[in-house]
Parts: sequence; C-alpha cells; structure tokens
Amino acid sequence: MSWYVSIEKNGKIIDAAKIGSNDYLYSLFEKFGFHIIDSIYNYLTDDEMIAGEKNCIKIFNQDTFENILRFYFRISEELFNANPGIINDLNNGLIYSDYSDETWMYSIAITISKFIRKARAIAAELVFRYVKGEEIFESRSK
Amino acid sequence: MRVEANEILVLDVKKMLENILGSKCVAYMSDITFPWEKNFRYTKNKKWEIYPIIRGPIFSIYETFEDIVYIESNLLFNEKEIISNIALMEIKEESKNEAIKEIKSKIYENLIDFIHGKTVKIIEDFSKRENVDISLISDYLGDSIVLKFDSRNLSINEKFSLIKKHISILINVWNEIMGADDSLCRKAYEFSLPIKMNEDFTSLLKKVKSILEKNIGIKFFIKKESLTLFSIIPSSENSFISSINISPKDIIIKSKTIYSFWNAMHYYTIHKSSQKFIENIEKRMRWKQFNDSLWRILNIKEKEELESFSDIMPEVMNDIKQLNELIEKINKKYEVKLNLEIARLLIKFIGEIKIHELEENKIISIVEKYINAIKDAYNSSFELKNIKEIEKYAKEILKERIKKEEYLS
Repeated sequence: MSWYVSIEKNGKIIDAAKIGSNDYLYSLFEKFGFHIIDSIYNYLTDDEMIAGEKNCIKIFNQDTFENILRFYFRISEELFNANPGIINDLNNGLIYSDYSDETWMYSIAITISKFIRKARAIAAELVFRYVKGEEIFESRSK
Repeated sequence: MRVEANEILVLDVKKMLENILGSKCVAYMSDITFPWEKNFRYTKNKKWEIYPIIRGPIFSIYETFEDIVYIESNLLFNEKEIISNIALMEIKEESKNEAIKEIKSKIYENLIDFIHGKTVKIIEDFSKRENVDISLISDYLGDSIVLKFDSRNLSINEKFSLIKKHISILINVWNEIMGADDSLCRKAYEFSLPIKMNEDFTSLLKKVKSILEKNIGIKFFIKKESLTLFSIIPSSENSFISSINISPKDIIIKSKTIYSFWNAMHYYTIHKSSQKFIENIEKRMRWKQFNDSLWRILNIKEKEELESFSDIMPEVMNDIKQLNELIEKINKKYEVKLNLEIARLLIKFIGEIKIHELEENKIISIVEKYINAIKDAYNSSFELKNIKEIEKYAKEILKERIKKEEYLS
C-alpha cells in the first residue's frame, strides 16, 4: 500500500505520481516533525471533507490549492536552504531522489507543487489516495 | 523557436475547439521536467494539453514529447458513479424512477459489456472508413475512445488540419455510440455524472459542525466514513463530545469516556481480590465470562447481563447504577433519550436521534438540546464521588507511570 497523488477530471486520471508507503511517510514525520499527507487535513474546506473518502483526500477549492501550495513550497524552500549542494546535485541529475530523506522529501514536495499548479490551471481535482500497488492506474479487467 | 511554434498551434487548436464545442477550453504547456521525476511519475509528460470546460465528447487533446498527438473522449460511463448514484437514490427513496430502475437492472445484465461491445464495433467501422488510429481504452472507472497520430516532421498547418479531422471523427464516433436520446448508452453516460450528496444533507452536516464549534470552542472535522455516513470529530482532546455520526436517517452523538472498567477494577483492587478466585473453577469461569462480555459491544439494553456479574464486582455495578440514575435525571430535565454505551471496557453517554423526514431547523434544535444534555451529564458524572475518585486515581497512576518511564529512559 502506498500514497499516490493524481490530477483527476471527469473521473479520468490526467497525471499521477507515487509518494511513498505509510511507514516511510511516518518515518519522515518523525524526522522532520510534520506529516506530508496528514498535514493537508488542516487546510481542507467542509466540502472537500465531505467529498473525500476513506484513504482518499480530494482537493478542488481554490483557497485550499493556494494554502497547500504554500505548505509544500515552504518545505522545498527550507530543504533547499538547509542542503543547497545536495539539492543542486539532485536537480542537475547527479544524484537520485532516493539519495537521502532530504532529497526524497524535496522531490515529493516539488512534484506535489507542480501537480497543484496544473490541477488549478485546468480546473481539475488533486487527489491523494492510499492504495495497494498501482491498482488505480491499471486498466479494468474485461 | 520550437516552443513558440507549439504555442501558436495550441492557441489555434484551443480557439478551433472552443468554436466547435461552443464553450471555453483551457490550455496547459509543459513546465520544467526534473531529472528525478521519472522516479515518481506514472503518466506521460506532455508538450501541451487542452481541456474543454464542459463535459462532452472531447476530454482532452495533447501532444507528447515522443511526437504523438492524442485526442481523447470523456468516459462513456463511470461504473463507480453509476453504483454510487443508485445507492444514493435508494437511500433517498427515488428508486421508483423508471430510468434508474432500467439502469439498475441492466447493470446486473452486463450493461458495461453491452456498451463495450457496441463501441468496439463502431470504432472498427470508423477506423476502416476513415483510415485513422482509433482505440477503446478501458480505464479503472470506465471506457473512453482515443484517436492518435504521429506528428513527426509535420508542419504546424498539417498538424492543425489533422487535429481538426480527428476531432470531427471523434465527435461522430461519440454521437453514434450515444445514439438517440433514450438509448441505453446515453442513459448510462448521463447516469455517470456525479450526483452530489443531497444539498440539504451537506448543509445539515456543516450546521451541526458549526454548532459543535460554537458550543465547545474548538475546531471540528467532517470525516466521510462511507457513501452515506459521515462523522464529525473534535480536533483536540479538549471536548466532552468524542464524535457525532450523521447519516440521512439518524444522528448518533457520543460523549468522551466517563468511566473505564479497567481503572475502576484497579481502584477497587478487584484484580487483586480476583486472585483468590483462581482456585475456585466456578468463580474463575464467571470472571472469564465477565471479561468476554465486556470485550464485545454492549449497550444499556443488555444491562441485565452486566448486573448478573454484581457478585464479583459490586462496587463497579453500583457506579453504573449511579450513572443510570444520573441519565434518568438528565433525560427528564432536557427531554432527551441519552443512554450509556459500553464498548471495549469504556463507558460513554450516547444519544440517538432519528432525523428522517424532519426539517433542518428542527434537527438542529434537537442536536443542540442533546449537546447541552451530554455536557451536563458529562460534568455531573465527575461530581459523583466514586467516579471522581477513580478519575483522580487513574491520573495519579498515569503520572507515576510517566515518571517511571522518564526515569528508566
């Protein structure tokens, strides 16, 4: 089971990315002091709370997009300021995102930020799902 | 120069699509792609994408970095929405509607396979007739049609006219699949539009949340438990309400724990005295029976079962009796029907309100009455001597345990 972020419109997935397992995200929470998914609940509107499902967070409100974008931007900025050399190496393709917890967290924060901007621009929903394997991205069996 | 040429093409395609559909479209140009992105992304990175605002035959048009242009339709049907809508309609008792009944019966007769089969045949015909690449994509929620062509070495004008041709084919394919207004495919498509939860119900959810926040002075969250069941939970421990469950039929309000069997048994040293039972098989069995009863959910209707154990723990039974007397007083005072909920060794106050066919204002005033009654019951319960002492004892034990853990660490 892993957390995925996707951009969805009219029931179709436009973009999707894997974030990480619950255990790994929890270990990041213990290290950095905030949870990269659970923190989103602090920004949801009532309508988004009602629209969400078990293990699924849906974001479509402009204010929420704005607030969580700021949240992820702050994470990426702080990680960059604390580790400028490593993050530059990461963005130049010299190391991979799994080089360290910092590079992984930075990559997640930037990926989600990119998704937020796109979802906002094309009037789509940003959806976080905790699912088994890649089941939501596989075709329906016929 | 390449990007500029793409921008001209995108703007032209967007304008053309807006004219065809009579509705606004949005265009999105690719942003910077980081080298590490391939570790995360599951989808193709696109040079540009266009999405119509209205829902109809065209879902999106985009070009990948591999120089393939795709023209995608919306989902022909959405299995999840159809099933959710039927469930919602049934709760709202609108299942008498003929269209819903037909879709519902056809689902069990493989509606999805029927649409799938019809679509495959139509796209095969179009593919031969128009000599274009058309395919049916089965997504995790439903089917959609995708047309694509290789855009390598094509001029902007050639790309534009090919996109125009493919849009026109996709619209024709779509119309043929959908058929007449009363066709099953069109009904399935229309029935796939998400029906929002009844507006009255979402308004009720928000109002109950705001009453709680006003009365308790902390933030509450709405949590979706299932399609028709929501809970409202406090953001901190500082609340005498632990949760409110709301469905279109009823509201269940629960207080925070007021009594822990575990703490009480320690306080009355029943655990120590129970050691004496060890040699007496009969009493040992009774002790086991009692533990088994507590570990499953009991409500006050089963209090006779609890009372039958008064021989092994009379003090605890006396506390429960006092709590029952308190509830009776509160119920009379506020004209409510609170009960004791016993679950997993803990006791809470619980109120159940049937809201079916009640007006929103009436429901809100009943909920407010229950909140006040639970507040009174919760505060009064800790004025009962024994319950106060057990609470004090439990806090001290906890303090000692923390001290011990700090010392050990």
